[in-house]
Formats: sequence, C-alpha cells, structure tokens
Amino acid sequence: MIPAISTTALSRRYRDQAALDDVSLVVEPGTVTGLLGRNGAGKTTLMRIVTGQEFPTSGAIRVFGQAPAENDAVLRRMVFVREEQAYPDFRVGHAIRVASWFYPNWDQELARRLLADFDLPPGRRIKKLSRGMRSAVGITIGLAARAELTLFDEPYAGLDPVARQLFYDRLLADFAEHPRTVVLSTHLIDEAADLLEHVVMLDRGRVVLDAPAGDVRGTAMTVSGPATAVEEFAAGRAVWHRQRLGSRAAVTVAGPLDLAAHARARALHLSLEPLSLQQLLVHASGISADEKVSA
Amino acid sequence: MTTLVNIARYHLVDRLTYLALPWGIMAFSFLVNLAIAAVVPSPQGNYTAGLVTIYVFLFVCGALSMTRSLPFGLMLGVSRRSYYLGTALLIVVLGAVYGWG
Repeated sequence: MIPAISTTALSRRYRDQAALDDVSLVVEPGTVTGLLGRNGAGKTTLMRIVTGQEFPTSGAIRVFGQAPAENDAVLRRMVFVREEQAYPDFRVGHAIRVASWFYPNWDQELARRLLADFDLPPGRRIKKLSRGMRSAVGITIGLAARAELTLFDEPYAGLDPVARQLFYDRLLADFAEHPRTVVLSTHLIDEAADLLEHVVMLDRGRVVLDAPAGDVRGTAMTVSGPATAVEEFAAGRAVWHRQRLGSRAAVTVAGPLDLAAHARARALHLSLEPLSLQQLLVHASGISADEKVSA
Repeated sequence: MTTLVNIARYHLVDRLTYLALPWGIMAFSFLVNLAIAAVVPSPQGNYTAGLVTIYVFLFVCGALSMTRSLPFGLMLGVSRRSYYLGTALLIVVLGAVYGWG
C-alpha cells in the first residue's frame, strides 16, 4: 500500500538553525497520527512541507507516492487546518461555500451540523469572530472537506473545553464512517491521546519517538512506595526520574515491565503506574539530545 | 481547469471588491473631477489624471489577495500556480467584460 506520507532524511534549515533534521517517517493511510513536540520542534514546518508550502533543504518527501510541491493532483486531496488561519474578508457562510467547491467528498450536511454545534452564525464576518470561533470555522472546514489527507495543526487556539471535546467526538465519529488519514499536531496531549493510533514526537527538528500509541503507553512506569523498596526495585533498570519525599520515593523506570517485574512490585508493596503520553513527552524532550526513546 | 474557475469564483464571492467597488470608485473620481472642472473655468478643456485611482485601487486589491485570499486557498489544497492562474483568468475576463462595456 502506498503510504499517505513518507519522508526520507528530510531536513529544512533556516540559516544556521535546523527546523527539521534528518526526519524519516511513514504515515500509513487510514490512521490518525499525533504529531507531538514543544513549540519550535518543527511540527508546523513538517506540515508545511507535506502540503507543498515550503521546500525541504535536503531529503525527499512523498505524499500518496508523489512529490507534493505545486502538484495539484496531490494537493487537492489534502486539507490543512492551521492555527490562526488567515481568511479573506468573508462571512462564515462564504468560507464554507468556497471550501465546498474544492472537495468532491464535501459533506454539506456535516458542515451545517458543525456550524450549529459551534454556534457559528453563517452571516457573521470572520474577522468579527472571537479567536475560538475562528478556530471553529477551520475545524468545520477540515472535517466537512472529507479530504483523504486531513492535517490539523493546533487547530483549537482559544476553543473552550466543551468545544474541544466536540471536535474530538466529531472527528472520531466521522473518521469511523469515512476512514481517511488524519495528522493532528497538538500540545494538549492527554486530551487527544485516545484519538491517536500512532505518535510521532519531534524535538528540535529530530524524531525522538515514532511508534503506535498502544506501545508508547507502556514505555515507562512510575514506581512509588517506601524508598528502600523502590530503590531495590529500580536497581539495574534505566531510571528516568527520581523523586523523594521523606521515607517514600517515586522513580520513573523505562519499561515495558514483564510479568515477573509486576509480581516483584506487588511483593514489595509498590504501586505501578504507566506514564501518560503527556508525561512521556516531557521526559522524552528532557533526555532526547542524542538518545532515542525506544518503544 | 475546474480548479482555475473555482479560484476565479472564489474571488467573486465577496462581490464588493471586484464587481462593485471599481465602478463606484471610478464614478466617484469622475464626479470629483467634474465638480472641479465646473468651478475652475478653462477654455481649452480639462485633462485630469482621475484614472490613476483605479490603478491604485487594483494594486491594493492585489496586495490583499496575496495576504488574505492566498492563505485560505492554500488551506484548501490549491497550489500557488493554480492560484496565480485562476486569479489571472479572473482579471483577464473582467478586463475584457469591462473594456467591452
């Protein structure tokens, strides 16, 4: 099967700064991939290269097997919803109408329903909307377009939690009925974690993690309990983080832990807790300088 | 070709910019010139540069098209080449229609 996106040794430099450094990854069609990383990690640069808006300094990029730059055949199969998207001096309804012309699978009914859910008045000028409402316009277009490759780059600036949950629910529901490839970059990792099937983590332009979300969840465990027992358990394991409070301690060890380790923890009366995706990102960006997190 | 036509249509969604304002501005400029000509008598007739207004206006339209319309087009998977060609198509058609009338 042709991958939706594949890059080989992709690099993008701005003068002496590397926005992307030797990025090689594959996004399988029909999956939801989370693109995670801190500000300036290169997420937007990568998405701009995927959509042909920017050009790599070196390396290759293929979208549906072809180079995307100025390639209408590939570009028209994508929609790219950005944070703080600029719109012409349009009313909400205008933007929706224009977007519908460019996508053969456009679902007007879905667009209408999303506008109602987000309380977006079609007659309102986009520049008069609040930040969150403007984000909702982008989300509505991104979902209703039903584009084969849907890219969301931090699409929910200023959106309230209720509206964000609405976005996740609608994305999941529509994705189930009309499978497509979705790439979502986000800072709100734990919120989006349930959506993601695959995670790619960037740090300073490099890929530090590229794995199925299910595998990632067991990558590290936090062990807590009496300090002596914790130290005994952690001996000989790769320790990412140590915390001590009086006679108790909590240690984050690299996993996955086998059954014997689980039994041992139980015998020592230690509690084991898998690290959430978000905590994992925090650790990964702390230690990522040259070592990779193996998942 | 459909894409180019769609881009041309995209510019016309907001009717004011390309359909109403050029004529409105020309009419206004003409009236101002007419008023001045009525006040200032000149036996050889009047020559004014009133037409310059339309060039200035269209220059501003072009600038706005780059900063406002192009980014939304890119979001919708339009290549920059198609955007340029679609916009050029619109300008040529409008020029032909307005020139005829």
